[in-house]
Formats: sequence, structure tokens, C-alpha cells
Amino acid sequence: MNHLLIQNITKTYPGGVCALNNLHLDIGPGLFGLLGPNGAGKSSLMRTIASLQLPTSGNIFLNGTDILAEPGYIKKQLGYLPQDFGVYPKITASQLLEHMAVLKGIANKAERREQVLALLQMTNLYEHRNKAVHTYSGGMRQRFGIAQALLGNPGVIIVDEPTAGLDPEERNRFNNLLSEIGEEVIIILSTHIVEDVRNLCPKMAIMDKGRILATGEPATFINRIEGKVWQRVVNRDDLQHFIQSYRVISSQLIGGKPSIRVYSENMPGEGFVAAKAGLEDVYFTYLKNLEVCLQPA
Amino acid sequence: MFAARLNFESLFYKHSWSFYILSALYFLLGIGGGIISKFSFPGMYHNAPYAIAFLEGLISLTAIFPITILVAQTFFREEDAGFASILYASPLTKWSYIGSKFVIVVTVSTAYMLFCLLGVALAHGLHLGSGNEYLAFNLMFYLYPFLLFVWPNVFLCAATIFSIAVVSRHKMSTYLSGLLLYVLYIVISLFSNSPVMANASPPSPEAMAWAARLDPFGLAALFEQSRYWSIADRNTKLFQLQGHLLVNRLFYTGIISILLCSVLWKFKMVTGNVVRRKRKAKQVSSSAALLQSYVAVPVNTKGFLYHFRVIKSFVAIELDVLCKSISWILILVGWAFFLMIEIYSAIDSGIRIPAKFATTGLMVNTILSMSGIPMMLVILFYSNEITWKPIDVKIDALEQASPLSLLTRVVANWVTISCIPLLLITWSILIAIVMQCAYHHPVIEWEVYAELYYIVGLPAIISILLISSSTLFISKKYLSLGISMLLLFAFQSKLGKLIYLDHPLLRWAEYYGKIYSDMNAWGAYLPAFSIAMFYSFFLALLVFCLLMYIKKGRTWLGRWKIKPYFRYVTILACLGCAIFAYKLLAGDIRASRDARNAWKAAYEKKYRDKDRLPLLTVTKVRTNIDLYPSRNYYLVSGAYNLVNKNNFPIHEAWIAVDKDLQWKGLELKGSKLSMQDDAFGQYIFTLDQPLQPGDSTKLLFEFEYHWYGNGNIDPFNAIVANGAFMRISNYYPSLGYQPGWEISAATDRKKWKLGPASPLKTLEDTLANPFPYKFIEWDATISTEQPQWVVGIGNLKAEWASNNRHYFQYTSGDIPFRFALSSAEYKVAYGQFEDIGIAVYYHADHAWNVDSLISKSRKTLEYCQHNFGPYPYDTIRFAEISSFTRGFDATAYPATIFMNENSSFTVDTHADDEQDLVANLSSHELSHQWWGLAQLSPPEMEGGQVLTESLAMYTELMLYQHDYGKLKTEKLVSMHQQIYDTEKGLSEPRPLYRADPGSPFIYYNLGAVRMYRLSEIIGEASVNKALKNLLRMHAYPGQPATVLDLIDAFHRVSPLELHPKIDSLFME
Repeated sequence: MNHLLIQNITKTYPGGVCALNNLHLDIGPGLFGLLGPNGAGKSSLMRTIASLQLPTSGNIFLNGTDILAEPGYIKKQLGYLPQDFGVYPKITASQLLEHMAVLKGIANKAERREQVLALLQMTNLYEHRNKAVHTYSGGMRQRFGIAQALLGNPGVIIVDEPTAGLDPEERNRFNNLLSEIGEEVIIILSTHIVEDVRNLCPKMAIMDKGRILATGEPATFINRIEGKVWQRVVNRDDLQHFIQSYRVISSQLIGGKPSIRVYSENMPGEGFVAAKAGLEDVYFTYLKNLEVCLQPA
Repeated sequence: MFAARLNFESLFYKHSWSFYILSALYFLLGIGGGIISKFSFPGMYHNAPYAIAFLEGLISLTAIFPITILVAQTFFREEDAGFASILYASPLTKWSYIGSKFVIVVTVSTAYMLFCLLGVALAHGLHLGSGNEYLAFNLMFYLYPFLLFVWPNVFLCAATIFSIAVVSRHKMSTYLSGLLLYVLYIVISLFSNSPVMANASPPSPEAMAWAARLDPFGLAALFEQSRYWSIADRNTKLFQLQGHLLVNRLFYTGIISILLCSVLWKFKMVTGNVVRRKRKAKQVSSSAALLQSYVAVPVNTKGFLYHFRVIKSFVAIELDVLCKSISWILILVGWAFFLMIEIYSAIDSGIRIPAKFATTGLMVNTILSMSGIPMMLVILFYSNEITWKPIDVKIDALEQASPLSLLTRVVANWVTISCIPLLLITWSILIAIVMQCAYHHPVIEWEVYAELYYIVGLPAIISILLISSSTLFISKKYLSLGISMLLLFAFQSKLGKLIYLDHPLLRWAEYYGKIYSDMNAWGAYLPAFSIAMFYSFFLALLVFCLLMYIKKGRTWLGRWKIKPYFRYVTILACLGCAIFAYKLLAGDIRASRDARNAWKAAYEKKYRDKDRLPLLTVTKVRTNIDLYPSRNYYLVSGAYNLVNKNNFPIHEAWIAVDKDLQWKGLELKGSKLSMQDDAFGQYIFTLDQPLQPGDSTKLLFEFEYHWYGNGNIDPFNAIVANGAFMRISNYYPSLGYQPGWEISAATDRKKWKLGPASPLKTLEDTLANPFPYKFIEWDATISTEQPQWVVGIGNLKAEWASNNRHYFQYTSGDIPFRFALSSAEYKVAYGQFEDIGIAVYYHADHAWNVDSLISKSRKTLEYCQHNFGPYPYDTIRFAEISSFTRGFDATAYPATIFMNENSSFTVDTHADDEQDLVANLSSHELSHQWWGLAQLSPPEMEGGQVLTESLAMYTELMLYQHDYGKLKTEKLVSMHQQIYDTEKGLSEPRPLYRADPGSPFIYYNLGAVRMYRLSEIIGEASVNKALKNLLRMHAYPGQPATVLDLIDAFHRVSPLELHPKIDSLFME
């Protein structure tokens, strides 16, 4: 069974930016959601795990092997879909997948061909296999990205913000693809879209400013705050007063009027109604550090 | 808004270190140019306005390259940054946007030119160029040509390339437009016969005018305006914006401004491809059979096969990307065009030189000429593009996340980029074959073409290795490009040699700058080249190893763990460098120009005051010469008979030898060596008994020479495997002080603090009577390797074979001390004219013009015998020599004429009915058997060459006129006049009768014109009669003629009233 242990990883870029701050994670097989806002350090962590950059300090072990000392160990079983990637111009999907398959070490030509075609079909790109990848739409390109990440025999798959910029239909399609991947594989889904983590990931972590704020199961997080989330529609002019007076988790517009959700052990006041807690509430609660009695990370 | 936008654009340069670095480089270029640019016009100042304008014009040509990069960076900045859609959606106006970009490109490139100009001015102001004279500083000398040539050229380049960028919206096309602009310039220069092209035949005034109008950079107009300027003019005059220069500047500035405005008018601030072609969507079958489901497949990332597969895949995909790219297609088209122009030019070189056969050798030499800078530029471009492609297209993260190792990636890069020169060589060969067929000479020598992959491909591949391994540690794309460019230009191109990077160990993977000879193939250059390539390979490896240690394995592609075996690689690289460096330098006797001049100056200072010491005279030479062409080696032994022709006893004999040969013995009978100066090859022997007048003694000597293929072969000592030619008398011992060993160039003499050179005897000097001719009897036994023949001079007395060697004995009585020989695998053709045998020794593949040569020789013999006197030998020989000998088309010796394979033997006389080089050369050289050599042998003095070369030119013209008529002859004479007019401004004016040996354009070209005019004035018959009389009175052993005797001879055959006209032909 594959097991990834990230120990006390710190990464400070030249210029003094601390992207990862003494980070610790223990990840087993299955989908693992890494949730965090833009600039939280998710992509830095993904690149570090993929051995594309070295941390300033710390260790990463895959099945007991230090992959910082032996990056080849993870690379031969890694599928990586970065947040932003490009392709060679005027090269077809078949050709490029074939090339990536060679890089990944699929020696037998027939096996290589079969896997490439199977992946193209699995990602619904078979009909477009002889078109240049650089002409693909955003969604098709992301599907191509997951196809190349599945080449070979990956034990660890890292997908970094895979659904950013996709329309709802494409997002669903992509999430369905991810969920079809085997249970023995470690899949790290790094995203800021809470819904994707809620739908796909049995385990998750919340990350911000280079630190892990919380790890655990989504359901456990939600249970902790169940019954303590209250909602009320307010006037626009009163919004600031409520933000200052209550532990506001989030605010959004409903019918053109701001509606706030607050955290409170008891009914916070007149006009509030009890709301069903969701993963989004958990997410914002940790991000805003609302001094709630939640288990630390 | 425009000002704000311009200020914003300028930020990218104000904060960019590359701008400051490039400015500094241009400044240094200016200093370098100011120091090393020299003109060999005696009396011209180093900072003369002509010199400055010429230098600035040349420098402005380099503006194409930074402007191309500037336009690519500036125009495409928003698209590259992904910011275009945001900017275009703002209220920014088109004119502010595009106008500011254009202005910044022009401003920055003008700044580079100004920095360069500053460097030139500083170098001049500080008198940094040694040994040159300088005028007082004058700002207008620098500013005026800048405004006339430099800035308009910058504007032209910027506007053209910018327009292409705007229209194409394609970065690669922009880059290539710079290259194509350069190519177009060459094409225009070739077709307009611009003097900018080094091989251009002398243009007629009409051609010059067209070139002046059409040259986009104005250099042809510069040459045209100054064509007839004297040295004084070049030292004082500024170029004037008038005539064709004005037309040129107005035309190009106007046309390019209109083009730019129209292009900018049509520009639209939209993103994506502006020009879209609707492509028919391919109908892909949607009823694809259900394929196998996805299953994981085991991988194997270890072992040689994995790395081999990866490299193969990278090469395939990168070459696929390459071949589909517009840039590659444009490069192929441009390359083909350029090569075809070069081939055309090589076959048909203009009005002076007739067309050549389109042989494989000619094609190969033309391809070789493209293997320098053009190939280097392509390699530079693609090295950078292919190396950085994964990052540019953002696929690097995917590739680096795979098990791909750094070493494999680097090797894959190197292999891919190395395919580029191989593809270009293949393309060049295809084009050459097509051209051979087009010119009706489909004799394809496949093995010679195949050798190009080694000769051209190997240095290219090693260059790629060198720049790949050096730039592996540079993480910025354009810095990497800059460093690569510096490395290649400094250590490979001739530019590097100009800044004294010319030591053999500093020439890294230098392209093969030599020639291919039909007779001698690649010669001994090839093993020397191979050694140089091995050296360069190990050097590249060593550079890589050292950088790895210094940078601790941190490359821009990732961290490379330095494994223990790496130290063995480093040791191997060091050893390889050392071994091949030693081999490279072994036997390398080249000296730099400065070193040679230093030796010459020291020689003159030490020995010139002894130049009036009495000397013995050589009367007989008996010698054995053993040639080993396959080893590029010969051995000479011999004896002089030395006679005291003075009227007093001689106590000493002063012998001078060439110190670059290996002397094994030098002994004067009955004497002791009393002075030995090995550094200068000077030896004085004191005779045991003074040698009385009329008595003789013997000098015995032995020396050898070995050519190792290093540097350039001594063209007059070309002991090559086939077609060897040696002016071997040059290397035999000489007597006394040698004025020929002095520095001749006045500027160099000044630098070395020497006074005037040994003066040439003037017409006012009295010649000794009887004249002490230095004629000898010659008896040489020469051997060579079978199956070669030796062609010597004089009479062939005997020929035999022994011990697998071929022996020849040549003898002659009473010839000047000037003898030569050739050795080759000859075929021989024989002819006869009366009782004179004609023999042509030629290379088996060069039979085309042999019959014509024999037939023209008969005509020349008939004409000369009839008009001037009997031919003094029983045979006339023509011997073909390899093109490794340079400097002449043909050279005459007693009874033998040696002809370069590039001249009479390979010209296509049927392709051009106006030029007949075979006839001209044969008649000219054959007539030297009367004019010069053993008959009319003038002393070395003013006008001496008129009696040899001018008379030979006259004979050539008369025979040409007999065959081709007066009209065509007038054309030929007119060409000689143009050559003379072009060259006369480059030195001190001299009339024909005072011609000095250093002014061939006087005694060849002016001499031809004046002698022809003489024949028109007094008639050919009278001229011939005068010449016959001259020979009768002054041929050896009679008192030698001077040019005054020649003029007198013409006076005697013409009426008195024509004498002033005759005098004016020679004295004005």
C-alpha cells in the first residue's frame, strides 16, 4: 500500500517569500484533498512532492524512501498534472502521449500503443487523437493532462487545480475521471474549490500561508460545527456592524441582499436562523481563524 | 498618452542589465574597430574621414541583429506575458501603442550605435591603433557619416523588421526577417555587382551607378562617390549628400517610411492570429471500436535501452516540431537561395573571369564557404530555441516530473541540435546536385559530397557540444544566447582572429576554412583538422567538467549529482586536451603577422648596413631533389659553383638561408665558418685563401621541408599529395643581404621604426656595363613517388624508374636564378609546332581544355617566332598544379608554364564567347619566354616590369584581337582601364615608365591599355618590329634593356611627329 509522509517541509524562495512553513502531512492511498486559497502554497507543495524543486528543509518519504535524496523513486511512479502546462506545437495527442509514455519507461511498443489509445478513449479524446494538442479547448487540454498523468503505472498522482477555468459540465467529467482511478493509488487533489473536495475526497487538509491548518475527514469537520452555524439576511448598511459584532463565517448575496453565516455556540440574536453546516463553513472558519474549539491540525 | 506609453516602454530597458551589457559590448566593438581597422593606402590617416565613414558603414550592418531581437521582444511583449487582451481592452490608442514601440526600438538601437561610435572616437582620440598617424580630432568626421549612413540604416532595418512583425504577428517570422534582410542585401549586392562583394569583378561605371542607387545600406554609394579619390581626398573630404548617394538615401527612407505607415495603419489591437484560414474540420469517425480498457503497465527506467528510447523519442518529436515550423521552412528557402547565388557566382564570376565547369569540387568549395558564419548563425538560433523549447511551451514540468535523467535530457538536446547542420548539409548537397545538372555537368562525385558530413558536420556538432555544455549553467534564455554568440564569434570566426584570438589552441571547433582541390582533395589539412576537432571535443568536455565542479552540479535544468566516476571523465578530458594540443602544435611554425614583422625588422636593423659587401656569384647549380608528396615532405641536396666576378680578391662568403627549413648541412669548400646566426639564417665563411678574380669554389648544402597541415600552406612551397608546386629556388641558399626580407608596408615600417625600404634603382641610376647577370646553369635530378611525374624547367635530359620512385633529370644553360617544379599523377598530351614539342601535363579529370591549350600555344609560338625571334628551347610544357597553390593563375619558367587547376583547366570556354582564358593565359605566359626569363631580362628597377608584364599583356591582346576582332578587344582594354582607374587612387601616382614592383595595376592594366593604344597609333607591325629590335640588342647576354630603351625602340620605328604621343603614353 502506498504511503506518503511529508515531514517538516519548509520552502523559502530567493527574495524571502516563505511558501511552505514547517509543513507536515501523512497521506495514504485514495483521493486526498488539499484545500486552500490562492497563494496558500499548494502548488509549491505539489512541485516539491513531484521533485521539481528542493525544499529549504524537511523530508518526504514515499513508502519509506526519501524521495528528496532519490527523486527517481517517485518519478518512475508519478503522474503529475500541474496547474498550468503547455504542449509542443503541431504535435498530435497520440504523438505526445506516446512520447510521454517513453519518458515514463513503457518499453514495449505494443503495450505503449494500447495504453495510449485506452487513455485517449477513457478521457474522451479518441476522436481527436490526431489533432494537435495545442488546438484543444481548455477542458480537452485538462483531459489530456490527466491522460498523460495516468501513463505507466502511477502510484502517486498529483493534480494541481485541475478544474480551474472549466465549465460545470467539464468539471463533472473530470471529477468522474478522477474517481475511477484505482483505490491503491495516492491521488492528491490540490484545489480551492470546496465542492470538489467534498464530493471526491474522503480525507483532506486545509492550508493557508504555507501552513496546514487542519487535516481530517470532511464529515468529521462538518459534524464539529453542526448546530453552531446561524444565518441571517441583513441590510447592506448594517453589514459592517454585523462583521464587527459577530464571528462571521461568510457573507453572500441572496436576492440582492447580503446574507451572513455566523459561528456561535448559541442563537446569536434576533433574526438569525439555524443553518446546516457545510464544508465551506469549515473552510472559512479555519481560514479566518475564528477561535472556535476545533481540533488543531 | 504617447509620452506615457513611451516612458513605460523605456522602463524595460532602463531596468534591464542586458541593455547595459549590450551597450558595453558595442562600446568595446567600437574601440576594437577603432584600433584594428586599417587601410593599406599609404599616407592615409587612421582617423581620416573616409576611414571613419567606411568603418561606421560596416558597423551599421551589424545593427540588423540587435534590432531583430529588439523588435521581437518589444512587439510581442504583451502576447508573451499574456497581457495583450487586458491592454487592448483599455482606452490606449493604436498609435500610442504601436508608435511608442517603434520609437523605443529605434532609440535603443541608435543608442547602441552611438556607444559604438563613442568607442571608435575614444580609440582614435587615445591613438590606440599602433603605428598609425592621426589627424586632429574633428567631431564632424564622426557625426556626419553617422547621420548619412548609420542612422538611416538603423531606421531602415527597424522599419522593415517592425513591419514584418506587425503584418505576420509571428515571432519566428520576425527573427527570420532579420536573417533574410541580410540575405537580401547580399543578393542585391551580387546582382548589382556591388563593390561591397569581395569577389565582384571590377564594375563598369554604369554598374557602379546602379549599385549605388540600389544598395539599401548605402555602402555602394560610398564606394561610388569615392572611387576616384586620391589619398589626400580621403584624408580631408566628407561624403556629400548628393548624386547617387542622395537618390539612395531618399529612395530607401521614403519607400520604407511609406511601407511602415501603411502597415501601421492596418494594424489592429486584437489578440490571436489576425489572419485566420478556415480549415475544413476533419471528419473523424465517431464509431470507433471499443478499445481495451485502461490498465496500468509496468515501467522500466533503468538501462541503456531506456535512455536510448528516450533520446530517440526526443529527437523524433523535436525534429517533427522543427520541420513543421515556419522558421525552418524559411531557413531552407533562404539557404537554398543563398547557396544558388553563391554557386552561380562561383561558376560565372563576372567579366574578368570566364565561366567554370560545374564540378563537384566547385560545388563543395561553395558549400564550404557557407559553412562559416551562416551555419554558425543557424546553429546559434536553433541551439537556443531547441534547448529552451520545453520552457517556452511550458511542457518542462511534465517532462521533469518523469524519470527522465538530466544527462539523458542534455544528450537528447545535443543529438537533436546536431541534426540541424546534418540536415543543412544534406539540403546543400541536393541543391548542388541540381545545379550540376542544370549546368550540364552531371558528374557527381558522391564520396566527395559524403566527406562534407565530416568536414562541415563535425565542427558544427562539436560547437553545439561546446555551447550546450557551457550554457547549461546559465538560467536566462537571452543571456545564454549572448554567451553562445560570444563563444562562437570569438573562438571560431575571423572576428576573433582580429582581436588576437588566433593562437591554434584558441580556435575551438573552427569550421574548415580551407578548400577542396580536384587534384589534391583535402590534402594534409585533413589530418590537422581532425586533430583540431579531437582537441576541441576534449576541450568542450573539460569545460563541462570544470563548470560542473565549480557550480556543484547546479544546472538550470536541475541539480546533477556529481558521481564518483565523474573525476575519471575529467581526467580523461584533461589528458585528451593535452595530447591533442601537443599534436596540434607539433611542427606548427606559423607566426603571427606581428611576430613575422618583428623578425623582419630585426633582420634589417642588423644586416642592412652590410648590403654593399662584395659577393661571390652563383654560376652553376647542381642539385638532387627527392619529393615525398604522400608525406608532404622533400629533401634537397646540392652544390653551387661560386665564382668571384669582382676584380679584387674575396675573403668571405656571406650565405643566407631560410630559417623555416630544416638545414642539415652547409659547407663552403676551403673555408671555415666564422659567423653563425641561426635566428636569421645568416652564415659567413672565411676562406682559407682569398678567392682571386675569376676563381671559383663550391658551396655544398642539404635541407628538408615538411608540411604538417597546420595553418595555411605556403602557396609557393606546396608539397602536397598530388599537384605539388614549389618555387623551389626561393628556398635555396642566397648570397648577401636580402632586400626581399624587409617589411614592405610603409605603415608597418613606421611602427617598427624603420627608415625607407631599400630603394628601387631609378631610371637615373647607371647600370654596370657589362651587366652582372645572375644567370646559372642548372642541372637537377628530381625524384618522386610512383606513379607521379615531375615537371621541371629547361630540357628533360633523362627519365627513369628505380625502387618504386620516378626520376627525372632537367638541365638548362643560362637561366636566371629562378627555378620551380611540380609533381602529380599526370596524364600527358603532346602536340607539335614545327620543331618545337608541346606537352601538357594535366589531371585526368581536367581534359576539357587540353586540345585548346595545345592549339592556342601553336598560334602563340607562330606569332612570337614570326614577330620577335626564335623560341629558345625545343619544348614548351604546361603543367597543371593544385589549387593549394594560390596567388596566380599561371607562372612562366624557362620552357615550362605552371597553371593553377582553377584557371585554364577548369574553365568552360564554350559558355562565354567573349572570354577565352585558355588563349589569354597561354599567350601571356608563353610570351614571357621572350619578355623576361632567359631572353629579355631587365634588372630590378623602375619600369622593369613594363619590359616583362606590359609586353606580355600586349602580346596577349594582339593574339586575342586576331581571334576575336577589334570590338571585343576594345571591351577587354576598357576593362583594364577601369581596373587601373579604381586602383590608382589607392597609392602614390606613378607614370607607366616608373612603375614599381608593388603596383601591378600599373604594369599589368595600364601597361595593357597603353601598349594597345600604341599599336593603334603606330600600328601593330611597327610595335612588333621595335620589340624585335629591342630583343636583338638587349637580350641576354647583352646589356639589359630599360624602359627608356623600349621607348627609344618605338621612336626608331615611327615618324618624329608621333614621338610626343609615344612619350605621353609612357610618361604621363
